[in-house]
Amino acid sequence: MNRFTEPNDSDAAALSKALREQEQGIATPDVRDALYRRLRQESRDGGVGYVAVQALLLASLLAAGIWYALS
Amino acid sequence: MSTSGHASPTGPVGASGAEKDRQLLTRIIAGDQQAFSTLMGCHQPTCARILTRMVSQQDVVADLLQETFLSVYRQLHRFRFESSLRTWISRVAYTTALQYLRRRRLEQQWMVALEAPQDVHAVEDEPGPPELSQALQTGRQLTAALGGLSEPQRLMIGLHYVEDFDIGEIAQVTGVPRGTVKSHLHRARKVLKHALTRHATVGELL
Repeated sequence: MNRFTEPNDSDAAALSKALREQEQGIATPDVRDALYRRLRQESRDGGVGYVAVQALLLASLLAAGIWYALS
Repeated sequence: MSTSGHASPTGPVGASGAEKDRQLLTRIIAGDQQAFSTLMGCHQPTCARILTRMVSQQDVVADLLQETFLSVYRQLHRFRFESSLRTWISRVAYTTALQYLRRRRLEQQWMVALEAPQDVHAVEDEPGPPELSQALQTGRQLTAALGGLSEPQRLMIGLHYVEDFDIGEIAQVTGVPRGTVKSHLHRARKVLKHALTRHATVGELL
């Protein structure tokens, strides 16, 4: 497939080859595992049970604060 | 993935390719993690190269790559096949890098260079022989020659010659008109040819 735009195809091919050879030496990071961990964490943090526990903890903290202030 | 940029299950064009992408997306939306892993495996290298060309800091690229695919995962259900999947994912990588540049207050600099495709250094008219292809074979000065390009020009040269994006696809990824893309590519080739043939000539003289 020739998708290059310039009239001189040999120049385009040579430039493409040289750039690709240059890119081959550069390692590409693989972030799949890190992303899955993040998605799992977000899914856990967004779950009904997790939110309920967080709300309960917050309510307890507020109640303790009020009790402490009044006593 | 091959370095040609055709690693998508679809490749950049083609009806059967688009159909494969559609099937892959359907599986991902249905919760198939393996399908998303396949998608990432295909498009990660292209996105990493886009981010590297825009940000130039390897330690940041992995974080931005993660951000890119998180956005892809979240927005996948909105993708309507108005462009190819790889163009759309590349656009997500591009905007992710742009957001990073914005946070670092470097976006304006990028946009100015993007919208005004001017040579970083004034170059003379197209030099005569040796041709660019010959110059590329004779020397190893490509890295130095690339350093003479503006960052948007480097990105566009990479998108065109490494990822095999055509003018229209580059315009979709970067959000600039096709004429501006053509201008950038033309000027970038001119700068490269000038730098490489100059090196080649000096090499011959030595």
